[in-house]
Amino acid sequence: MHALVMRGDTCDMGGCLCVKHVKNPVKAARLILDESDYCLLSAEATLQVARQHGLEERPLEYFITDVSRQKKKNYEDSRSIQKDFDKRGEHDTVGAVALDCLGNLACATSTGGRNVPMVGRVSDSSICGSGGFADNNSVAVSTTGDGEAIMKVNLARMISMYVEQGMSPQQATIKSLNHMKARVGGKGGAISVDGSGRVGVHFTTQNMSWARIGGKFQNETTYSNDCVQFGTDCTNIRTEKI
Amino acid sequence: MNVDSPQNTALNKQPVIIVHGGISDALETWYMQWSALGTKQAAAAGYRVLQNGGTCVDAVVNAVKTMEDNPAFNAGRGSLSNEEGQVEMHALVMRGDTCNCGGVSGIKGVKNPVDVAHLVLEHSHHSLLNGNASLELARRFGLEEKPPEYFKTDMTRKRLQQRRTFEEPFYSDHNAVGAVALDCHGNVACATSSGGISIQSAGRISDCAIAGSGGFADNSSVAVVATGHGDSILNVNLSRLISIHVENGMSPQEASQKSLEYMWRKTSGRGGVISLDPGGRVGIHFTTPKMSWARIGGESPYDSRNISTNNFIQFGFDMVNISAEKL
Repeated sequence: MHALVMRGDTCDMGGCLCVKHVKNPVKAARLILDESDYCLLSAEATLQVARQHGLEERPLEYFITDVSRQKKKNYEDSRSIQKDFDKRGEHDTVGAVALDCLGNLACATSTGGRNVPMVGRVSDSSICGSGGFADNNSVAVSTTGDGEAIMKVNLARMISMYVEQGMSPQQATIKSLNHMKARVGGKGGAISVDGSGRVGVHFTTQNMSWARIGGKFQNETTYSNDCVQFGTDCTNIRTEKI
Repeated sequence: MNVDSPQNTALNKQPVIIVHGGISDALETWYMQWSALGTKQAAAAGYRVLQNGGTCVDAVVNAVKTMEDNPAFNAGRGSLSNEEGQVEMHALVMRGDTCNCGGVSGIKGVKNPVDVAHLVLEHSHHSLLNGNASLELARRFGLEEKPPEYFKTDMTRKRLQQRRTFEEPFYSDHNAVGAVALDCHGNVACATSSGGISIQSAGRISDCAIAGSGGFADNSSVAVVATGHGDSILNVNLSRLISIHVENGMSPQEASQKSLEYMWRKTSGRGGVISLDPGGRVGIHFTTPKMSWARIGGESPYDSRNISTNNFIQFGFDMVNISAEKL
């Protein structure tokens, strides 16, 4: 598993890669951010930090579910990474971005990696600039999708640079995802929010599940903190009061 | 490699290579001179590949290999040890035509980590592998391994001892090595290699292995490699930042300066970069007192007019005392 937490005020971050046994890798990433002098630690080092701070661990069986067993079997049947990805979004990195009442941005990302990766493959999710990025001067971003492609173009950093140049998070997200598809043939999705609450949600795959509370999205002119919007695409959006 | 790219017709077909051996605050001139000489040898080795019509990827890998074999540098032999006294190395190779990259993080025992990164690039579907996976790949292709003692030198042992006793070091820690090249087909590539920082926690991953931080290459902008305070480089994604400035119209030199200054303001971290675009424009900049570097070919805003930079090799460890030797 791989995870990243980054804070936008200092641009400090904590990333962990290829970590096993820790129940919540994102908590380990948070520890690396807060307690470690470094930004990115490998499996053994992360496990040490996690144990020093008493993070919960679980045996292997805890992490494997019927769904993930089926996905592994699907891959073995199709024997093709590209077909596997195109089929039904096997790249299931999760992430979050937030803006607090002090005006600070942050992002967090966590993943089990792609379906049946090579042992030791590092996911883009733990890499600052690829899986996520946060800078109070621009935007907080979390990405998901074809990890190799995300790393090649540094998707999260691209989105932040476009926002620094004056684009809205939504425009920056769309432009960067389109660039990734054109330049290296990879599809994915990203969520972003800037310091004034403007929100970006876009994906070049068929679906991405997302949910949002607050901020300004698309053509909205006011902030809406009393309901949660969610959906798996950008047309069938549901809204519920909190 | 994409030989028939439409960019070829407009491009400078003269190959270019730039190499750096890491930054330093060192007061010891003998060390920087040794380092500068090593970068000269590495640039010459890489340029030979280019002169024979070889690709930019082969050129940068060759140049970095030369530095890995040279104990003067914090890469391969001469790598700094972590807090457990072990050597963990990191490397990256990235090609500008496809933006494919191969990164290796925390590998032990392999004589040339940049060769492993090259394997990840060419023979793996993935962009970045951890130590164990890289070692397996290296073994599958029969790459040379060495016992732990091979990588340590008197200098690195002394460095480890100095760090443990908080003595003032005689050379600074953060010195990944790297190379960027432009070949006669108009393609750019980058490669970088590092032993990390002395007495680091075992398992610390260097910016060196990360595309966008330690290095980046894209034919539509620039090839760049970075060295210096690794965590700061990661925080700002230094290489990707430089490439985006070039995409927006800056020269590699301006982009390198602007990005390093930004990193210093944002994180207080210092470093150095070398960059090269497919038009042959060169960028060399560092916010530390010194960085050893060498260069053959290309155009820099500091060149006098009408000189043919492909006839000689420029090298030095600051931007004032620059030596030049005919090739």
